Amino acid sequence: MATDSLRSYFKNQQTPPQWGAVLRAMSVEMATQAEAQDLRDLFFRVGERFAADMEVSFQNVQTLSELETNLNDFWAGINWGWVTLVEAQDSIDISHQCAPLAAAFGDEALPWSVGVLEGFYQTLFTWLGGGDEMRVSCVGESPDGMDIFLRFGRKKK
Amino acid sequence: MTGSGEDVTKLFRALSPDDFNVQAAANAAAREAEQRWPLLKASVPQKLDLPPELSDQEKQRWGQQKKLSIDHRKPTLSMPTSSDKMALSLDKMSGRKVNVAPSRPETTTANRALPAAVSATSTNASTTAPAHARAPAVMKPDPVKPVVEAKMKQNLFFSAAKPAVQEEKPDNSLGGIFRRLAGKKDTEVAAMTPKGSLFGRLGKR
Repeated sequence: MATDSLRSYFKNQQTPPQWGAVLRAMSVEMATQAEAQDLRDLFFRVGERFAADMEVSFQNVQTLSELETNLNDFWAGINWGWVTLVEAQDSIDISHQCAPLAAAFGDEALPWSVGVLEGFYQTLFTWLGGGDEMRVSCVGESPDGMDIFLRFGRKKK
Repeated sequence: MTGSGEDVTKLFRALSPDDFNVQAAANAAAREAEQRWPLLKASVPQKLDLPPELSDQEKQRWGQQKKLSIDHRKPTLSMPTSSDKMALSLDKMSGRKVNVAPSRPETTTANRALPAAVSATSTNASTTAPAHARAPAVMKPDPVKPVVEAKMKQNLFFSAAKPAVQEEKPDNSLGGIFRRLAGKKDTEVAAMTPKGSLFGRLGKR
């Protein structure tokens, strides 16, 4: 219970008051103007641009562990939580903890706002050598929307 | 001085502790106390039951038993046993000149009859054996032991020289992980990307 309270408090602190209300209003308006899949694609492209600006931070990465460390340095610098990368049987499991998407755009926008993280990780993995047949996709999130679970694996045909 | 020496001896003999007065006083006090306080008379401590003294015959029997248990046999030279003979003949057959002195059968037969592979157990056996059986085994050089050790070393070197089956270590670099996820073998990817390194991949972009 105490943890839930702390998480809820922390979630409300993740978006600066200066922009919180504006971002919420913007996401509601966007949801009225476009389908969720289109919005997800839009946010995917936003994530691609986001990652493209940060590629320099990852140019010396050679292993998954190094990548995780560099990513966490990056995410911590902008208060976007932290990530764990685990190599699974046929994928890399990406658990992004305390992501501010639900706090910024609202819980109802999470199904398409996760596109930002998908686009970011997709761009990064492709840049690091992941093949074109591989794809980052969201596979779930925690009830409060703060933890996003993604998977980098083969595209579903 | 001689005459006074006798006097001194007498004097010392006469100096033996004379506790008659003390004992008499103690007995009188005890009797007086019993009369004064009858309870003390009723609670006189009983003497503990001591074991009956042994008779002379019984003492003799105990003494004889002790003697029997302590009896030591003098060490005498013994004739080689059948196992010693067998070991000697085996040594002759193998063409080694070995000075095998007839000694106590436990140690010699044990050391010689041991096969090469069980020399380790022989050391254990020697340590667990009683001290009188262990001593000669330590002092006398065992003619078989160097051969056994040499064979063991040979086996050890042989096994060490064997080409061990190399376990394929997984490539934990990002490139290796991506190749595994894509289901490609290393050779395929190496053919596709000659450099194979991260910077090589970056150069493609």
